[in-house]
Amino acid sequence: MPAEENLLDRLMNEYGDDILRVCCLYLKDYHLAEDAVQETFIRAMRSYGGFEHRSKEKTWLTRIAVNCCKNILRNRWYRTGMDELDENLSVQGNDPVEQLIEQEGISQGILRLDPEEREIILLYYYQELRMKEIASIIGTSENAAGQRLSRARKKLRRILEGEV
Amino acid sequence: MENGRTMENGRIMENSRTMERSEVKAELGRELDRIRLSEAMKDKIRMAAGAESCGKNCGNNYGRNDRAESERMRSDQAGTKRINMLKKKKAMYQRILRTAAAFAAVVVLGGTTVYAGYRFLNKINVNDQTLPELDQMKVVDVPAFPGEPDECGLIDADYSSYDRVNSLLGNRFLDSDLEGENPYMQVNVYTDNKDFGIISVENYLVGDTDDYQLVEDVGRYNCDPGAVYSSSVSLKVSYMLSTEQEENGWDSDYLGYYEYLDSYVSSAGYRVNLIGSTTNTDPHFVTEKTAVFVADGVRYELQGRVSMETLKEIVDSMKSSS
Repeated sequence: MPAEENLLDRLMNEYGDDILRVCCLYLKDYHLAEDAVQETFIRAMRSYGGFEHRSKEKTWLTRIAVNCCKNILRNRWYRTGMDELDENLSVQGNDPVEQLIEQEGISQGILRLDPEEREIILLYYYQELRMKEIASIIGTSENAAGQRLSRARKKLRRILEGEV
Repeated sequence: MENGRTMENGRIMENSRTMERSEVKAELGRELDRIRLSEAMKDKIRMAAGAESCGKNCGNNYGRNDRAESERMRSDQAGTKRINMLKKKKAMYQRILRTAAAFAAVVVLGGTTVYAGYRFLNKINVNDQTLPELDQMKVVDVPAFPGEPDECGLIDADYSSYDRVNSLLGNRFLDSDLEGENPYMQVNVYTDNKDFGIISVENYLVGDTDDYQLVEDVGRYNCDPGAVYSSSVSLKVSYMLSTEQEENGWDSDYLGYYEYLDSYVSSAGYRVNLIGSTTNTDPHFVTEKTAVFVADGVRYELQGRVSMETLKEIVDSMKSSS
């Protein structure tokens, strides 16, 4: 098998499930998440030669995935309008994300957060990234990231405790 | 009750007990277990990536391809571990940096683009838009930064004073005369002492923000907004150390919830690009803004939730410290 295929397979095997799960919770839509994952790995293969290993591979891939998700949301925002966005992102049918919405748990709570809040909760709790890494991914200072995390955690706690 | 938690209607968190990070991760892992990247999806990605690769090999200059390197890698049957090591060595010995990291959302775009014979280096892109050209980054002559490099030759060091870091680098960099140092400053230096260096300063300027509280588990400060500064302002200083880095440039990309706001010339004569966050559309919310400029070959980025006027005032306050 050619070397580049080895690399792609390794990346997909090591990180594919986690990247898909992050995209699912970020986008609240399984099919959009699949699009985001495909775009993520294509971009990763395109730019791997320039990956300096200054960050962990997982951080680098997560950064690409989050940007792909943001671009999908941004494009949908312009077509759909902000007010309708969250409703339109709920998918009917045999959809793993819909099942998460229906089953009670932390995922359900996360899906009820705003996109920015979901993003930082996922990066901190699911991807277990450091604040420095999170700040570089979301494009803000570490302080701002810390404050956003604090607000998102409080809101998630209120959701899970039934206050919201 | 199990492990101090109640399970009522399937809810995990009750009575405001905070779950440990690892517990949340484990619970999420269980809930998301059925979501997996299928073989069909992997095949689809392989086909799409293969089509991209064909495009590159057919001569489309879509990425930063080293054809000889690619051919050598394809003939290498030793496995991905060696491939990763080769890429690492290539990165170290060719000393090419395509990405400015620290606090910008960045994806490598590929090679620099030639526009009608003029090579536009050091591009700053906001989504699909390339911003007006700034003054060019250049090699700067600074002392080697002290510290023990890691296995990749990189120094990653934390300080509590920008003045201290600047003095270690020969007082080469600009500093604002709006404020003295504050006790909440968190400085990080990231450099290989060969090609590049990045200095990141959290809480560089605090303005009229108040009540700084350290959030222990994230190691960063929360604060209350003031009337003028809705947040503290951070500083990032990026500099080049080699001609090879200079020739390859330093592109930055702000992808997602950003928009280009304005360009102007500061009182000191620097061309400045202003970028804004678009995540909050409430007209009463002071959004995060970033000012980017290059002075004497060094790129500066100031970022915070302040008005455009305040941000311009901060840019104008950046003066030589030597």
